[in-house]
Amino acid sequence: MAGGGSGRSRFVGVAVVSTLCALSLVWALAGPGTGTAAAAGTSCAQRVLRDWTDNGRVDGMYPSKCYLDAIASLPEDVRTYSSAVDDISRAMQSSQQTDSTNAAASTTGDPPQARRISSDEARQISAQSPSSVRGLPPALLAVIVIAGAMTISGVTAYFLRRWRDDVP
Amino acid sequence: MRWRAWIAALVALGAMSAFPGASSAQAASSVQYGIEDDAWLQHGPGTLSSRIAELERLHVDIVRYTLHWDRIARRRPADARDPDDRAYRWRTSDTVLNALHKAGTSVVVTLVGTPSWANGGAPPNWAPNSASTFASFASAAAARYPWIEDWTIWNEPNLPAWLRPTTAGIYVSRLLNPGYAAIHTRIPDALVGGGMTSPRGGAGGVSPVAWIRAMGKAKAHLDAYAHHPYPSRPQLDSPWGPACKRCSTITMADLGRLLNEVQRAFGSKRIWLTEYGYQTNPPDQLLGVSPATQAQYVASAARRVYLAPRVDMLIYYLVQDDAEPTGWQSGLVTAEGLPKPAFTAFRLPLTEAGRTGDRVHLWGQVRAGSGQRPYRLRVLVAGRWSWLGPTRLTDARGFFAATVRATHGSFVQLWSPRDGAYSLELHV
Repeated sequence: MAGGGSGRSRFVGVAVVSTLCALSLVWALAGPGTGTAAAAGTSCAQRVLRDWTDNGRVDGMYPSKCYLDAIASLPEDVRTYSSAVDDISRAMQSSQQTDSTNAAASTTGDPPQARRISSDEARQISAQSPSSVRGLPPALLAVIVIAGAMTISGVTAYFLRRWRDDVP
Repeated sequence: MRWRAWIAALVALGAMSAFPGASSAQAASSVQYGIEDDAWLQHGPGTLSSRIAELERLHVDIVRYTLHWDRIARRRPADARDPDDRAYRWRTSDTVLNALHKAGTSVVVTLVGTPSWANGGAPPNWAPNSASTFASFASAAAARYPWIEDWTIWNEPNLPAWLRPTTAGIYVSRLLNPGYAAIHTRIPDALVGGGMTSPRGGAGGVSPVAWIRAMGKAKAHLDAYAHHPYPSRPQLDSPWGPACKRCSTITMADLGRLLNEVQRAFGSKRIWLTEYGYQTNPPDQLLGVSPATQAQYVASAARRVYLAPRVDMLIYYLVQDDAEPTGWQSGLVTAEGLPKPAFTAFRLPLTEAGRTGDRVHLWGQVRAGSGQRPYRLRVLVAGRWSWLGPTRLTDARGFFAATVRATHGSFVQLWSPRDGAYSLELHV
Protein backbone atom coordinates (compact mmCIF):
# COMPACT_ATOMS: atom_id res chain seq x y z
CA MET A 1 0.00 0.00 0.00
CA ALA A 2 2.67 2.23 1.04
CA GLY A 3 4.69 1.01 -1.94
CA GLY A 4 1.66 1.29 -4.18
CA GLY A 5 0.87 4.59 -2.66
CA SER A 6 4.43 5.60 -3.05
CA GLY A 7 4.45 4.55 -6.76
CA ARG A 8 1.17 6.47 -7.47
CA SER A 9 2.43 9.56 -5.75
CA ARG A 10 5.69 9.32 -7.68
CA PHE A 11 3.65 8.95 -10.88
CA VAL A 12 1.51 11.99 -9.98
CA GLY A 13 4.60 13.97 -9.10
CA VAL A 14 6.30 13.08 -12.36
CA ALA A 15 3.10 13.90 -14.29
CA VAL A 16 2.83 17.33 -12.61
CA VAL A 17 6.48 18.07 -13.23
CA SER A 18 6.22 16.94 -16.84
CA THR A 19 3.09 19.06 -17.34
CA LEU A 20 4.87 22.08 -15.89
CA CYS A 21 7.89 21.36 -18.10
CA ALA A 22 5.63 21.02 -21.13
CA LEU A 23 3.87 24.28 -20.29
CA SER A 24 7.24 25.96 -19.85
CA LEU A 25 8.41 24.53 -23.16
CA VAL A 26 5.31 25.67 -25.04
CA TRP A 27 5.47 29.05 -23.31
CA ALA A 28 9.13 29.29 -24.23
CA LEU A 29 8.20 28.73 -27.85
CA ALA A 30 5.07 30.83 -28.09
CA GLY A 31 5.02 32.97 -24.99
CA PRO A 32 7.87 35.36 -25.66
CA GLY A 33 6.35 36.05 -29.02
CA THR A 34 3.07 37.13 -27.57
CA GLY A 35 4.82 39.12 -24.91
CA THR A 36 6.92 40.92 -27.45
CA ALA A 37 3.88 41.42 -29.60
CA ALA A 38 2.16 43.26 -26.81
CA ALA A 39 5.23 45.30 -26.10
CA ALA A 40 5.71 45.98 -29.78
CA GLY A 41 2.25 47.55 -30.15
CA THR A 42 3.68 51.04 -30.63
CA SER A 43 6.86 50.07 -32.41
CA CYS A 44 4.99 48.20 -35.13
CA ALA A 45 3.08 51.45 -35.83
CA GLN A 46 6.43 53.15 -36.09
CA ARG A 47 7.57 50.49 -38.52
CA VAL A 48 4.54 51.20 -40.70
CA LEU A 49 5.37 54.92 -40.63
CA ARG A 50 9.01 54.27 -41.44
CA ASP A 51 7.90 52.03 -44.28
CA TRP A 52 5.68 54.85 -45.64
CA THR A 53 8.33 57.51 -45.12
CA ASP A 54 10.98 55.95 -47.31
CA ASN A 55 8.97 56.02 -50.54
CA GLY A 56 5.40 57.09 -49.83
CA ARG A 57 4.13 53.48 -49.90
CA VAL A 58 3.67 50.81 -47.27
CA ASP A 59 5.50 47.91 -48.88
CA GLY A 60 5.52 45.48 -45.98
CA MET A 61 2.58 43.58 -44.50
CA TYR A 62 1.63 44.12 -40.88
CA PRO A 63 -1.15 43.16 -38.50
CA SER A 64 -4.16 45.49 -38.89
CA LYS A 65 -3.56 47.04 -35.50
CA CYS A 66 -0.19 48.36 -36.67
CA TYR A 67 -1.78 50.28 -39.55
CA LEU A 68 -4.47 51.68 -37.27
CA ASP A 69 -1.96 52.67 -34.61
CA ALA A 70 0.21 54.28 -37.28
CA ILE A 71 -2.70 56.40 -38.54
CA ALA A 72 -3.68 57.34 -35.01
CA SER A 73 -0.14 58.46 -34.24
CA LEU A 74 0.23 60.75 -37.25
CA PRO A 75 1.03 64.35 -36.38
CA GLU A 76 -1.58 66.84 -37.52
CA ASP A 77 0.54 68.31 -40.32
CA VAL A 78 1.19 64.88 -41.79
CA ARG A 79 -2.49 63.96 -41.49
CA THR A 80 -3.62 67.17 -43.21
CA TYR A 81 -1.05 67.85 -45.87
CA SER A 82 0.25 64.45 -46.92
CA SER A 83 -1.31 61.35 -48.38
CA ALA A 84 -0.18 59.25 -45.41
CA VAL A 85 -3.69 58.46 -44.14
CA ASP A 86 -4.84 57.38 -47.61
CA ASP A 87 -1.68 55.41 -48.32
CA ILE A 88 -1.68 53.54 -45.00
CA SER A 89 -5.43 52.86 -45.17
CA ARG A 90 -5.04 51.50 -48.67
CA ALA A 91 -2.16 49.29 -47.57
CA MET A 92 -4.25 47.95 -44.68
CA GLN A 93 -7.15 47.12 -47.00
CA SER A 94 -4.79 45.41 -49.39
CA SER A 95 -3.30 43.42 -46.53
CA GLN A 96 -6.73 42.40 -45.26
CA GLN A 97 -7.86 41.38 -48.77
CA THR A 98 -4.77 39.26 -49.13
CA ASP A 99 -5.46 37.60 -45.78
CA SER A 100 -9.10 36.86 -46.66
CA THR A 101 -8.16 35.59 -50.12
CA ASN A 102 -5.67 33.22 -48.58
CA ALA A 103 -8.18 32.08 -45.97
CA ALA A 104 -10.81 31.40 -48.65
CA ALA A 105 -8.26 29.54 -50.76
CA SER A 106 -7.28 27.32 -47.85
CA THR A 107 -10.91 26.24 -47.31
CA THR A 108 -11.49 25.50 -51.00
CA GLY A 109 -8.18 23.79 -51.43
CA ASP A 110 -7.09 26.26 -54.08
CA PRO A 111 -3.55 27.54 -53.90
CA PRO A 112 -3.41 30.86 -52.03
CA GLN A 113 -3.25 33.90 -54.27
CA ALA A 114 -0.97 35.83 -52.04
CA ARG A 115 0.23 39.22 -53.15
CA ARG A 116 3.53 38.75 -54.88
CA ILE A 117 6.18 40.18 -52.71
CA SER A 118 9.67 41.19 -53.57
CA SER A 119 12.70 39.82 -51.82
CA ASP A 120 13.01 43.15 -50.04
CA GLU A 121 9.49 42.80 -48.80
CA ALA A 122 10.16 39.25 -47.73
CA ARG A 123 13.19 40.40 -45.81
CA GLN A 124 11.14 43.13 -44.22
CA ILE A 125 8.38 40.76 -43.23
CA SER A 126 10.82 38.24 -41.82
CA ALA A 127 12.57 41.03 -39.98
CA GLN A 128 9.28 41.77 -38.30
CA SER A 129 9.06 38.21 -37.09
CA PRO A 130 7.46 36.78 -35.22
CA SER A 131 4.66 39.02 -36.48
CA SER A 132 3.12 36.10 -38.36
CA VAL A 133 2.89 34.19 -35.09
CA ARG A 134 2.21 37.32 -33.11
CA GLY A 135 -0.64 38.13 -35.36
CA LEU A 136 -2.61 35.17 -33.94
CA PRO A 137 -5.46 36.08 -31.65
CA PRO A 138 -4.62 35.61 -27.94
CA ALA A 139 -7.51 33.14 -27.46
CA LEU A 140 -6.18 30.89 -30.21
CA LEU A 141 -2.71 31.06 -28.73
CA ALA A 142 -4.07 30.02 -25.34
CA VAL A 143 -5.81 27.03 -26.90
CA ILE A 144 -2.58 26.03 -28.63
CA VAL A 145 -0.60 26.37 -25.39
CA ILE A 146 -3.08 24.30 -23.35
CA ALA A 147 -3.47 21.66 -26.07
CA GLY A 148 0.30 21.39 -26.40
CA ALA A 149 0.74 21.04 -22.67
CA MET A 150 -1.99 18.41 -22.41
CA THR A 151 -0.55 16.44 -25.30
CA ILE A 152 2.96 16.42 -23.86
CA SER A 153 1.77 15.54 -20.37
CA GLY A 154 -0.52 12.83 -21.74
CA VAL A 155 2.26 11.26 -23.74
CA THR A 156 4.59 11.47 -20.75
CA ALA A 157 1.99 9.89 -18.49
CA TYR A 158 1.37 7.10 -21.00
CA PHE A 159 5.03 6.17 -21.15
CA LEU A 160 5.40 6.46 -17.39
CA ARG A 161 2.45 4.10 -16.89
CA ARG A 162 3.93 1.63 -19.35
CA TRP A 163 7.29 1.92 -17.60
CA ARG A 164 5.65 1.33 -14.21
CA ASP A 165 3.67 -1.63 -15.54
CA ASP A 166 6.85 -3.08 -17.01
CA VAL A 167 8.65 -2.82 -13.69
CA PRO A 168 8.57 -6.27 -12.09
CA MET B 1 49.21 71.31 -61.68
CA ARG B 2 49.78 72.63 -65.19
CA TRP B 3 47.85 69.85 -66.93
CA ARG B 4 44.78 70.68 -64.85
CA ALA B 5 44.98 74.29 -65.96
CA TRP B 6 45.21 73.16 -69.60
CA ILE B 7 42.16 70.89 -69.24
CA ALA B 8 40.22 73.66 -67.55
CA ALA B 9 41.12 76.12 -70.29
CA LEU B 10 40.13 73.66 -73.05
CA VAL B 11 36.82 72.86 -71.35
CA ALA B 12 36.06 76.53 -70.90
CA LEU B 13 36.91 77.19 -74.55
CA GLY B 14 34.63 74.34 -75.64
CA ALA B 15 31.84 75.57 -73.44
CA MET B 16 32.22 79.11 -74.73
CA SER B 17 31.83 77.85 -78.27
CA ALA B 18 28.57 76.32 -77.16
CA PHE B 19 27.37 79.56 -75.69
CA PRO B 20 25.72 80.99 -78.77
CA GLY B 21 22.95 78.63 -77.73
CA ALA B 22 22.57 80.54 -74.51
CA SER B 23 19.74 82.95 -74.46
CA SER B 24 17.71 85.09 -72.17
CA ALA B 25 14.63 83.61 -70.57
CA GLN B 26 12.09 82.49 -73.10
CA ALA B 27 9.09 84.39 -71.81
CA ALA B 28 8.43 87.46 -69.74
CA SER B 29 6.92 86.00 -66.58
CA SER B 30 5.06 88.17 -64.12
CA VAL B 31 5.53 85.76 -61.25
CA GLN B 32 6.61 87.19 -57.91
CA TYR B 33 8.52 85.06 -55.43
CA GLY B 34 7.70 85.67 -51.81
CA ILE B 35 7.81 84.47 -48.23
CA GLU B 36 5.36 83.98 -45.45
CA ASP B 37 6.40 83.70 -41.82
CA ASP B 38 4.26 85.86 -39.55
CA ALA B 39 5.70 84.44 -36.33
CA TRP B 40 9.26 85.10 -37.47
CA LEU B 41 8.41 88.61 -38.62
CA GLN B 42 6.73 89.45 -35.33
CA HIS B 43 8.89 87.58 -32.85
CA GLY B 44 11.96 86.27 -34.69
CA PRO B 45 15.56 86.87 -33.66
CA GLY B 46 16.95 90.40 -33.78
CA THR B 47 14.82 93.44 -34.43
CA LEU B 48 12.04 93.90 -36.95
CA SER B 49 14.42 96.05 -38.99
CA SER B 50 17.04 93.32 -39.03
CA ARG B 51 14.44 90.75 -40.03
CA ILE B 52 13.24 92.93 -42.89
CA ALA B 53 16.88 93.37 -43.89
CA GLU B 54 17.10 89.57 -43.96
CA LEU B 55 14.14 89.48 -46.33
CA GLU B 56 15.98 91.97 -48.51
CA ARG B 57 19.01 89.69 -48.52
CA LEU B 58 16.70 86.93 -49.72
CA HIS B 59 15.47 89.33 -52.46
CA VAL B 60 11.82 88.53 -51.85
CA ASP B 61 9.39 90.24 -54.18
CA ILE B 62 6.42 90.00 -51.86
CA VAL B 63 5.56 89.04 -48.27
CA ARG B 64 2.34 87.36 -47.22
CA TYR B 65 0.96 88.52 -43.90
CA THR B 66 -2.18 87.50 -42.01
CA LEU B 67 -4.66 89.83 -40.34
CA HIS B 68 -6.54 87.87 -37.71
CA TRP B 69 -10.01 89.37 -37.49
CA ASP B 70 -10.63 87.57 -34.18
CA ARG B 71 -7.54 89.16 -32.60
CA ILE B 72 -7.92 92.62 -34.08
CA ALA B 73 -11.61 92.88 -33.15
CA ARG B 74 -11.99 90.97 -29.90
CA ARG B 75 -14.91 93.28 -29.06
CA ARG B 76 -17.71 94.18 -31.44
CA PRO B 77 -16.90 97.59 -32.96
CA ALA B 78 -19.52 100.31 -32.79
CA ASP B 79 -18.77 101.24 -36.38
CA ALA B 80 -17.09 98.18 -37.86
CA ARG B 81 -16.27 99.90 -41.15
CA ASP B 82 -14.24 102.56 -39.39
CA PRO B 83 -10.64 101.41 -38.83
CA ASP B 84 -10.33 103.96 -36.03
CA ASP B 85 -13.13 102.40 -34.03
CA ARG B 86 -11.94 101.93 -30.45
CA ALA B 87 -12.63 98.19 -30.55
CA TYR B 88 -9.96 97.55 -33.20
CA ARG B 89 -6.43 96.61 -32.12
CA TRP B 90 -4.10 97.17 -35.08
CA ARG B 91 -0.87 97.63 -33.17
CA THR B 92 0.84 94.36 -34.12
CA SER B 93 -0.16 94.50 -37.77
CA ASP B 94 0.60 98.23 -37.97
CA THR B 95 4.14 97.59 -36.73
CA VAL B 96 4.90 94.86 -39.25
CA LEU B 97 3.00 96.16 -42.26
CA ASN B 98 4.19 99.75 -41.94
CA ALA B 99 7.80 98.55 -41.63
CA LEU B 100 7.41 96.45 -44.77
CA HIS B 101 5.79 99.39 -46.56
CA LYS B 102 8.62 101.66 -45.51
CA ALA B 103 11.11 99.13 -46.89
CA GLY B 104 9.28 99.11 -50.20
CA THR B 105 8.26 95.47 -49.90
CA SER B 106 5.02 94.41 -51.55
CA VAL B 107 2.55 92.64 -49.30
CA VAL B 108 -0.32 90.24 -49.87
CA VAL B 109 -2.64 90.23 -46.91
CA THR B 110 -4.86 87.38 -45.75
CA LEU B 111 -7.97 88.05 -43.67
CA VAL B 112 -8.95 85.14 -41.43
CA GLY B 113 -10.57 84.14 -38.12
CA THR B 114 -14.04 85.00 -36.87
CA PRO B 115 -14.38 86.81 -33.54
CA SER B 116 -16.71 85.05 -31.14
CA TRP B 117 -19.14 87.99 -31.13
CA ALA B 118 -19.70 87.42 -34.86
CA ASN B 119 -20.40 83.70 -34.78
CA GLY B 120 -22.39 83.17 -31.62
CA GLY B 121 -19.43 82.39 -29.38
CA ALA B 122 -17.91 79.68 -31.56
CA PRO B 123 -14.16 79.26 -32.22
CA PRO B 124 -12.48 81.42 -34.94
CA ASN B 125 -12.77 78.66 -37.56
CA TRP B 126 -16.55 78.97 -37.55
CA ALA B 127 -18.02 81.22 -40.21
CA PRO B 128 -19.68 84.47 -39.15
CA ASN B 129 -23.44 84.35 -38.85
CA SER B 130 -23.89 87.15 -41.34
CA ALA B 131 -22.03 88.39 -44.40
CA SER B 132 -22.05 92.02 -43.30
CA THR B 133 -19.76 91.60 -40.29
CA PHE B 134 -16.88 90.27 -42.37
CA ALA B 135 -17.51 92.85 -45.10
CA SER B 136 -17.21 95.60 -42.49
CA PHE B 137 -13.91 94.22 -41.20
CA ALA B 138 -12.53 93.87 -44.74
CA SER B 139 -13.57 97.47 -45.38
CA ALA B 140 -11.84 98.67 -42.21
CA ALA B 141 -8.66 96.72 -43.04
CA ALA B 142 -8.56 98.12 -46.58
CA ALA B 143 -9.05 101.62 -45.20
CA ARG B 144 -6.25 101.03 -42.69
CA TYR B 145 -3.79 99.78 -45.33
CA PRO B 146 -4.80 101.43 -48.60
CA TRP B 147 -1.34 100.87 -50.10
CA ILE B 148 -1.77 97.10 -50.09
CA GLU B 149 -2.80 95.91 -53.53
CA ASP B 150 -3.14 92.15 -53.05
CA TRP B 151 -5.68 90.67 -50.64
CA THR B 152 -6.81 87.13 -49.96
CA ILE B 153 -9.90 85.95 -48.17
CA TRP B 154 -9.50 83.33 -45.47
CA ASN B 155 -7.01 80.47 -45.26
CA GLU B 156 -7.63 76.91 -46.47
CA PRO B 157 -11.41 77.09 -46.07
CA ASN B 158 -11.70 73.60 -47.55
CA LEU B 159 -10.39 72.24 -44.23
CA PRO B 160 -12.59 72.15 -41.12
CA ALA B 161 -9.61 73.29 -39.09
CA TRP B 162 -10.00 76.65 -40.83
CA LEU B 163 -13.67 76.92 -41.75
CA ARG B 164 -16.86 75.37 -40.43
CA PRO B 165 -19.27 74.61 -41.96
CA THR B 166 -16.77 73.51 -44.58
CA THR B 167 -18.75 74.37 -47.67
CA ALA B 168 -17.87 76.51 -50.64
CA GLY B 169 -21.36 78.06 -50.50
CA ILE B 170 -20.80 79.45 -46.99
CA TYR B 171 -17.30 80.57 -47.96
CA VAL B 172 -18.50 82.46 -51.00
CA SER B 173 -21.63 84.01 -49.50
CA ARG B 174 -20.33 85.01 -46.06
CA LEU B 175 -16.65 85.64 -46.65
CA LEU B 176 -15.33 85.89 -50.20
CA ASN B 177 -18.00 87.90 -52.01
CA PRO B 178 -18.63 90.34 -49.16
CA GLY B 179 -14.87 90.78 -48.67
CA TYR B 180 -14.28 91.22 -52.39
CA ALA B 181 -16.91 93.96 -52.66
CA ALA B 182 -15.74 95.77 -49.52
CA ILE B 183 -12.06 95.81 -50.52
CA HIS B 184 -12.82 96.94 -54.07
CA THR B 185 -14.98 99.75 -52.74
CA ARG B 186 -12.08 101.05 -50.65
CA ILE B 187 -9.26 100.25 -53.11
CA PRO B 188 -10.63 100.06 -56.66
CA ASP B 189 -7.33 98.78 -58.09
CA ALA B 190 -6.89 96.05 -55.50
CA LEU B 191 -6.73 92.41 -56.50
CA VAL B 192 -8.62 89.98 -54.32
CA GLY B 193 -7.72 86.31 -54.29
CA GLY B 194 -10.22 83.65 -53.32
CA GLY B 195 -9.96 79.95 -52.69
CA MET B 196 -6.74 79.74 -50.67
CA THR B 197 -7.27 76.01 -50.78
CA SER B 198 -5.24 73.31 -49.12
CA PRO B 199 -3.85 70.71 -51.56
CA ARG B 200 -6.16 68.02 -50.19
CA GLY B 201 -9.41 67.78 -48.29
CA GLY B 202 -8.29 65.31 -45.66
CA ALA B 203 -10.64 64.15 -42.91
CA GLY B 204 -13.84 66.17 -43.00
CA GLY B 205 -12.54 68.52 -45.65
CA VAL B 206 -13.29 69.08 -49.32
CA SER B 207 -10.83 68.39 -52.10
CA PRO B 208 -9.59 71.48 -53.93
CA VAL B 209 -11.08 70.25 -57.21
CA ALA B 210 -14.55 69.90 -55.67
CA TRP B 211 -14.07 73.23 -53.90
CA ILE B 212 -13.18 75.11 -57.07
CA ARG B 213 -16.19 73.66 -58.89
CA ALA B 214 -18.52 74.48 -56.01
CA MET B 215 -17.13 78.03 -55.80
CA GLY B 216 -17.84 78.43 -59.50
CA LYS B 217 -21.42 77.30 -59.02
CA ALA B 218 -21.78 79.65 -56.06
CA LYS B 219 -20.79 82.54 -58.35
CA ALA B 220 -17.63 83.51 -56.53
CA HIS B 221 -16.16 86.95 -57.16
CA LEU B 222 -12.40 86.96 -57.37
CA ASP B 223 -9.50 88.45 -59.29
CA ALA B 224 -7.18 85.50 -58.70
CA TYR B 225 -7.55 81.96 -57.46
CA ALA B 226 -5.19 81.22 -54.59
CA HIS B 227 -3.99 77.74 -53.72
CA HIS B 228 -1.36 75.96 -51.60
CA PRO B 229 0.25 73.22 -53.71
CA TYR B 230 2.18 71.36 -50.99
CA PRO B 231 3.39 67.90 -51.98
CA SER B 232 1.37 64.85 -50.91
CA ARG B 233 4.37 62.56 -50.70
CA PRO B 234 7.43 64.75 -50.28
CA GLN B 235 9.63 61.66 -50.49
CA LEU B 236 8.51 61.19 -54.09
CA ASP B 237 6.93 64.42 -55.32
CA SER B 238 9.22 66.83 -57.03
CA PRO B 239 7.63 70.06 -58.27
CA TRP B 240 7.33 68.34 -61.65
CA GLY B 241 5.95 64.98 -60.79
CA PRO B 242 4.69 62.41 -60.57
CA ALA B 243 1.34 64.01 -61.36
CA CYS B 244 -1.69 62.11 -60.13
CA LYS B 245 -4.11 61.72 -63.03
CA ARG B 246 -7.25 60.62 -61.21
CA CYS B 247 -6.75 62.52 -57.97
CA SER B 248 -8.77 65.42 -56.70
CA THR B 249 -5.76 66.77 -54.85
CA ILE B 250 -3.64 69.54 -56.34
CA THR B 251 0.07 69.61 -55.62
CA MET B 252 2.75 71.53 -57.47
CA ALA B 253 3.16 68.47 -59.68
CA ASP B 254 -0.54 68.81 -60.56
CA LEU B 255 -0.31 72.48 -61.50
CA GLY B 256 -1.93 71.74 -64.84
CA ARG B 257 -5.04 70.49 -63.05
CA LEU B 258 -5.27 73.73 -61.07
CA LEU B 259 -5.00 75.81 -64.24
CA ASN B 260 -7.67 73.74 -65.99
CA GLU B 261 -10.12 73.72 -63.08
CA VAL B 262 -9.77 77.45 -62.47
CA GLN B 263 -10.19 78.15 -66.18
CA ARG B 264 -13.34 76.02 -66.27
CA ALA B 265 -14.86 77.55 -63.12
CA PHE B 266 -13.86 81.20 -63.44
CA GLY B 267 -12.36 81.82 -66.89
CA SER B 268 -8.85 83.20 -67.33
CA LYS B 269 -8.29 84.27 -63.75
CA ARG B 270 -4.79 84.70 -62.43
CA ILE B 271 -3.30 82.06 -60.13
CA TRP B 272 -1.63 82.84 -56.81
CA LEU B 273 0.27 80.09 -55.02
CA THR B 274 0.15 81.62 -51.57
CA GLU B 275 1.80 78.83 -49.58
CA TYR B 276 4.31 76.22 -50.57
CA GLY B 277 7.33 74.50 -49.08
CA TYR B 278 9.28 71.38 -48.33
CA GLN B 279 10.09 70.37 -44.79
CA THR B 280 13.53 68.98 -44.06
CA ASN B 281 14.80 65.91 -42.28
CA PRO B 282 16.34 66.62 -39.87
CA PRO B 283 14.28 67.42 -37.97
CA ASP B 284 11.03 66.19 -39.58
CA GLN B 285 11.44 62.45 -39.99
CA LEU B 286 8.05 61.85 -41.57
CA LEU B 287 7.58 64.60 -44.14
CA GLY B 288 11.11 65.93 -44.39
CA VAL B 289 13.39 65.69 -47.39
CA SER B 290 17.12 66.23 -47.16
CA PRO B 291 18.26 69.87 -47.00
CA ALA B 292 19.93 69.41 -50.41
CA THR B 293 16.69 68.12 -51.95
CA GLN B 294 14.74 70.99 -50.40
CA ALA B 295 17.16 73.43 -52.04
CA GLN B 296 16.87 71.65 -55.36
CA TYR B 297 13.06 71.80 -55.19
CA VAL B 298 13.03 75.46 -54.24
CA ALA B 299 14.85 76.30 -57.47
CA SER B 300 12.92 73.78 -59.52
CA ALA B 301 9.55 75.05 -58.27
CA ALA B 302 10.60 78.58 -59.17
CA ARG B 303 11.11 77.45 -62.75
CA ARG B 304 7.86 75.44 -62.70
CA VAL B 305 5.74 78.49 -61.93
CA TYR B 306 7.82 80.69 -64.20
CA LEU B 307 6.82 78.52 -67.13
CA ALA B 308 3.18 78.10 -66.09
CA PRO B 309 0.72 80.49 -67.69
CA ARG B 310 -1.25 82.91 -65.50
CA VAL B 311 0.70 82.18 -62.28
CA ASP B 312 1.60 85.48 -60.64
CA MET B 313 2.81 84.49 -57.21
CA LEU B 314 4.72 81.76 -55.37
CA ILE B 315 4.98 82.25 -51.63
CA TYR B 316 7.44 80.07 -49.77
CA TYR B 317 6.21 79.11 -46.31
CA LEU B 318 8.61 79.89 -43.49
CA VAL B 319 11.87 81.69 -43.16
CA GLN B 320 12.80 79.75 -40.03
CA ASP B 321 11.93 76.28 -38.78
CA ASP B 322 9.53 76.00 -35.89
CA ALA B 323 11.39 75.58 -32.61
CA GLU B 324 9.01 72.78 -31.67
CA PRO B 325 10.05 69.49 -33.31
CA THR B 326 6.38 68.76 -33.96
CA GLY B 327 5.95 72.10 -35.72
CA TRP B 328 6.49 73.00 -39.37
CA GLN B 329 10.07 72.62 -40.57
CA SER B 330 10.16 74.05 -44.07
CA GLY B 331 12.28 77.06 -43.15
CA LEU B 332 15.17 78.39 -45.16
CA VAL B 333 17.09 78.51 -41.89
CA THR B 334 17.04 76.04 -39.02
CA ALA B 335 15.37 76.69 -35.68
CA GLU B 336 18.85 77.60 -34.41
CA GLY B 337 19.23 80.21 -37.15
CA LEU B 338 21.68 78.36 -39.39
CA PRO B 339 21.00 78.79 -43.10
CA LYS B 340 20.00 75.67 -45.00
CA PRO B 341 21.09 75.23 -48.64
CA ALA B 342 17.58 76.37 -49.59
CA PHE B 343 18.45 79.85 -48.33
CA THR B 344 20.95 80.23 -51.16
CA ALA B 345 18.67 78.45 -53.62
CA PHE B 346 15.89 80.91 -52.84
CA ARG B 347 17.96 84.05 -53.37
CA LEU B 348 19.86 82.78 -56.41
CA PRO B 349 18.00 79.86 -58.00
CA LEU B 350 19.77 77.72 -60.59
CA THR B 351 18.31 74.51 -61.96
CA GLU B 352 18.86 72.06 -64.78
CA ALA B 353 16.12 72.32 -67.38
CA GLY B 354 17.34 69.45 -69.52
CA ARG B 355 20.27 67.88 -71.27
CA THR B 356 21.14 66.97 -74.83
CA GLY B 357 24.32 64.94 -74.83
CA ASP B 358 26.97 67.16 -73.31
CA ARG B 359 24.81 70.24 -73.63
CA VAL B 360 23.08 71.15 -70.39
CA HIS B 361 20.17 73.58 -70.42
CA LEU B 362 20.15 75.75 -67.33
CA TRP B 363 17.53 78.09 -65.93
CA GLY B 364 17.94 80.59 -63.16
CA GLN B 365 17.24 84.00 -61.81
CA VAL B 366 19.40 86.74 -60.39
CA ARG B 367 17.01 88.24 -57.88
CA ALA B 368 19.26 91.02 -56.64
CA GLY B 369 18.73 94.36 -58.30
CA SER B 370 16.38 95.44 -61.03
CA GLY B 371 16.36 95.55 -64.82
CA GLN B 372 18.76 93.39 -66.78
CA ARG B 373 21.36 91.93 -64.44
CA PRO B 374 24.82 90.55 -65.17
CA TYR B 375 25.54 86.90 -64.49
CA ARG B 376 28.20 84.36 -65.26
CA LEU B 377 28.37 80.58 -65.11
CA ARG B 378 31.28 78.35 -64.27
CA VAL B 379 32.02 74.63 -64.23
CA LEU B 380 34.18 72.53 -61.94
CA VAL B 381 36.73 70.53 -63.90
CA ALA B 382 39.49 68.49 -62.32
CA GLY B 383 39.05 70.35 -59.07
CA ARG B 384 39.22 73.81 -60.66
CA TRP B 385 36.46 76.22 -61.54
CA SER B 386 36.43 77.49 -65.13
CA TRP B 387 34.22 80.25 -66.43
CA LEU B 388 31.74 79.23 -69.08
CA GLY B 389 31.81 82.17 -71.46
CA PRO B 390 31.69 85.86 -70.71
CA THR B 391 29.44 87.78 -68.37
CA ARG B 392 25.93 87.96 -69.79
CA LEU B 393 22.72 89.76 -69.02
CA THR B 394 19.48 88.37 -67.73
CA ASP B 395 16.12 89.61 -68.95
CA ALA B 396 14.50 92.62 -67.29
CA ARG B 397 13.29 90.54 -64.34
CA GLY B 398 16.55 88.74 -63.73
CA PHE B 399 15.64 85.46 -65.45
CA PHE B 400 17.97 83.65 -67.80
CA ALA B 401 18.13 80.41 -69.74
CA ALA B 402 21.51 79.21 -70.91
CA THR B 403 22.99 76.16 -72.55
CA VAL B 404 26.44 75.07 -71.52
CA ARG B 405 28.64 72.12 -72.25
CA ALA B 406 29.20 69.94 -69.22
CA THR B 407 29.68 66.22 -68.87
CA HIS B 408 27.46 64.06 -66.69
CA GLY B 409 28.31 64.47 -63.06
CA SER B 410 29.80 67.95 -63.43
CA PHE B 411 29.13 70.82 -61.07
CA VAL B 412 28.10 74.22 -62.39
CA GLN B 413 27.55 77.42 -60.49
CA LEU B 414 26.00 80.81 -61.07
CA TRP B 415 27.77 84.03 -60.15
CA SER B 416 25.95 87.28 -59.59
CA PRO B 417 28.53 90.08 -59.73
CA ARG B 418 25.98 92.67 -58.66
CA ASP B 419 25.71 91.28 -55.15
CA GLY B 420 28.88 89.21 -55.20
CA ALA B 421 26.99 85.98 -54.63
CA TYR B 422 27.37 82.43 -55.88
CA SER B 423 24.53 79.98 -56.25
CA LEU B 424 24.70 76.49 -54.85
CA GLU B 425 26.87 74.10 -56.82
CA LEU B 426 24.47 72.37 -59.19
CA HIS B 427 25.20 68.74 -59.98
CA VAL B 428 24.30 68.25 -63.65
